[in-house]
Amino acid sequence: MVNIIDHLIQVFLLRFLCLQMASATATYGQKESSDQNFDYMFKILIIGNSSVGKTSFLFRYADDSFTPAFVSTVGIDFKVKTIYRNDKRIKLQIWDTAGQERYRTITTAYYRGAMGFILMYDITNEESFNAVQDWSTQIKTYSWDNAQVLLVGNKCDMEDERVVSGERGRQLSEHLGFEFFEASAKDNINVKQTFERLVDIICEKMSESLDAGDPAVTGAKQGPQLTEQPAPPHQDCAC
Amino acid sequence: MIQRNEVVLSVLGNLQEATETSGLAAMTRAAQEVDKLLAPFQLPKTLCHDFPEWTGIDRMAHGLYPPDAPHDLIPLSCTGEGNMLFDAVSMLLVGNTDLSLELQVRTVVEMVLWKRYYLSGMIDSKMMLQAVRFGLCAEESEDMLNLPVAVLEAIFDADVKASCFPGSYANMWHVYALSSVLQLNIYSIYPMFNHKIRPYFNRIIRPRTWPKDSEPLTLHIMWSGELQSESAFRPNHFVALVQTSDWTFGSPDSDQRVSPIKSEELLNDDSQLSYPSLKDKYNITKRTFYRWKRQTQEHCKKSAARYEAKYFLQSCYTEGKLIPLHQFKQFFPEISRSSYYNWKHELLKTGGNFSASSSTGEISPGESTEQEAWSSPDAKEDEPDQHDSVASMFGLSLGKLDLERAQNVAHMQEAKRCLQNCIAMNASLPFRLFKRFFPGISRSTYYNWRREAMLFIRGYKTSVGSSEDSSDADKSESPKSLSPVPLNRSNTAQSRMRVCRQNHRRFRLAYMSKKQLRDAAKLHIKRSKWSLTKFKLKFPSMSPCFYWLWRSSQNCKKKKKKVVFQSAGISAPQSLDNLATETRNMEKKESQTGHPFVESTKYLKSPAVPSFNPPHSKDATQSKMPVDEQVFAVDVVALANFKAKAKLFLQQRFEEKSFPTFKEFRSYFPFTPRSTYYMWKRALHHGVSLVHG
Repeated sequence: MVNIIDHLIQVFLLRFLCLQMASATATYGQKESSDQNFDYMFKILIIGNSSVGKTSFLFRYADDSFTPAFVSTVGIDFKVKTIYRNDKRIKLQIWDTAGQERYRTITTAYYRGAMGFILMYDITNEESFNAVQDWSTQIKTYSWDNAQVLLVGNKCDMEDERVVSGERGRQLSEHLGFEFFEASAKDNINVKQTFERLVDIICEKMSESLDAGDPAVTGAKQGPQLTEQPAPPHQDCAC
Repeated sequence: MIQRNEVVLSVLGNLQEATETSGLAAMTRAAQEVDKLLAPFQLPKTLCHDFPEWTGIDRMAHGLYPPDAPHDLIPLSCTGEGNMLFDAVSMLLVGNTDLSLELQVRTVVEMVLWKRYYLSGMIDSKMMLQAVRFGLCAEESEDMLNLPVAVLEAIFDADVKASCFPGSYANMWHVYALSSVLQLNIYSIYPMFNHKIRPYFNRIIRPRTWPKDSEPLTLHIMWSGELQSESAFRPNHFVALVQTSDWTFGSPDSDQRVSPIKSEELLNDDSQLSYPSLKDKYNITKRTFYRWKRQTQEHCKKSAARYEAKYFLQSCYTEGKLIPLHQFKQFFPEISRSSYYNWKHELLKTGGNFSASSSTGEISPGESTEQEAWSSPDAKEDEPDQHDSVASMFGLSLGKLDLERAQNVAHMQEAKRCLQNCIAMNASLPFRLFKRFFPGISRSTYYNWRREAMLFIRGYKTSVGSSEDSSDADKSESPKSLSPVPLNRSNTAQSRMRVCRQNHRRFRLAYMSKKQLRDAAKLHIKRSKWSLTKFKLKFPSMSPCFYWLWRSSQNCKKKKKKVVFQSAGISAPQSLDNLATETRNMEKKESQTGHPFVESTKYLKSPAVPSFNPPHSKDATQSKMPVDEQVFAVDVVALANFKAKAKLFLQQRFEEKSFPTFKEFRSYFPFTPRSTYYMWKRALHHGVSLVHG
């Protein structure tokens, strides 16, 4: 039984990836990447305005370190962190993007294939909070429809300089349909929880899609060409 | 095979672990290890000709297939993760995707171990980086052009690391590295969209090395993706292209499947084709036929208009009066405001002199590749065959030289040469004067050239004299070789035809007025013996080259002349005097190095110098020769000699496997433009000898 569920998840993952190719050529299950040193890999992006603390947040999570000095991220980079969830090794490929406006077009190129986003603002910086709406639009434009997003208000250790109340953050997150955390990379508040919650949401979404008979797979992004293509037999789905 | 897969998987695991440490050091160590482990396994040397029956045709790619690509290829549908570069290539090599992961691993290794080569050492580095810039951004945006190399390097590192995981997205640098891994050419085909950036993606990628006994095979891949609207294409994944002959038509409807692209090609080949003639051959509806026809024609018109507008703007700029938007709009109502500003911005940034300013060497890669973008063929669909392998390989744009540009380039060259001569003789030519002679040239360009020439005077080292390569004229992309005038003329003839054909009326008008001016000047010179100064005053916009040419050709008619180099003390206009002084200097220099000047000139039999007769002997009577002809000849000879030296130098260094960087080259030969250096470098890399005999 466990094996079957496993297999289903795998099939789902493959379809998930196939979906992002607009070509949507309809053969699945040819590739087995499971015989590597992880069971799943999730690509996650941290986005948000410059200096809200994206890199610090990632370093806190991946290396449990914190440097107060601000070094602007050059272009883009990622870190890998392996976690265990329900006895599965899940490799998180967490992309740290440059928040500066001039890099924005590059970073959107990396939205492809991302399954989760951490959209971050700085509770001491009104502007970064105002930009959340734009970032959310960017996600909608450039990523897969089912990508999961968490809204995070960083630097919650700096209560004295707070300008964005927790309540406003919560309201905005409800409006956008994201879950919400306030966190601090400096004091290590809610950092691990954020990532774990995001992974859980992604997993939930996965099994949801499977239960509902793959609504995601037959979803909107498939081109009309697909139906005309003689579909090769996919035995994988029968099991 | 199983063992091979296991090895690949295990080394992939090692590489993945290495991505967890920051920086590329751990990756490099791992890559070296992997390189050794994979060495025993051979990659296929030939392409697969036998595809499984179930392999389908990728219809979307089919619809996007550009008319300038080889006609006998069809896109295969393929499955995989990410953008499927490795899957597509694996399909081409073995008929399935079994090899994808290994190709991916090998590409990562290649990129890590040869990072410097790809980012800066490769002949195509700038083209590649520019492609990557465009590949990274969602839209064509000017910002991307300014993306600094440091950022690109950071992205390269991240990309390499990300490529250690399945489902990664390959960019253009992966294509280059993969070509080296396979030691095969990869012809990357890009649909007929995004014309500004298309040339960076639609090209033949050459491997870093390949077995010397044969030319590498070429495999074809194509960028495909959904059309976002009528004209917006965003590449999304790669597809494999196979020869039609290798494709066994398995299903009954295969004929129909092949039809769309075939008929589109036919439309391009021959616009006379009518619906009835196509209907019988291909199962298409009348509506489809006319839609295709309309789209094809509209597309041609649109890009021809853009092309025309762009070069019109450029020639305006070079003449020193950049027209304002409203005026531009009057001429080209169909061109958008943003295009105008984009072009204007580019012109201003590059100083408007796309060919010559590149020799200054102070510009960032972003800017200099932008010039390549300007010279890239924009309206390719006019000549479907123009994009053959050689042209694209050399990145040339011979076919698109229109004559305004040719003249501008010649003018620039002339201006630069004049300045160099003056500086070589220690005579100062202040900007104020320079400006009067060459009104189109900006102050900054003047100072760049000046600095360059000063550098040359200090750092000049003579090398041995060498021969002159006469085949050069056909290879150069613009009249950059030693004598701009004759070359310019041959281009004139060529491009005149083209201008007529393409109905570029405005260019034609501009050309006509220039020609009239030239004819008038010629007449004056032939009738009355004007001095150069007078010529300059009467015809400020004309290159003094014309003066020398006409003067000398006139003299040549009288009787066969011989050139003498010991000419001095003859009264002449000031500028002539200066040139004569240079003659002496040149001669001195030559005799010091033990290579008499006369000796090296005997190689000068290039057809590019029609008005010049090589000296046969020294004759005392020759000193009676009009000084201006000698001076002109010397001028040409001196330049030819520099060029020949530069070529020999490059060839020798190439043979010694210590090819100089442009920086080093420039320190020896500051007169040679950067583009010429790269042209020669390309030629050498492609096995063309620069020096004959």
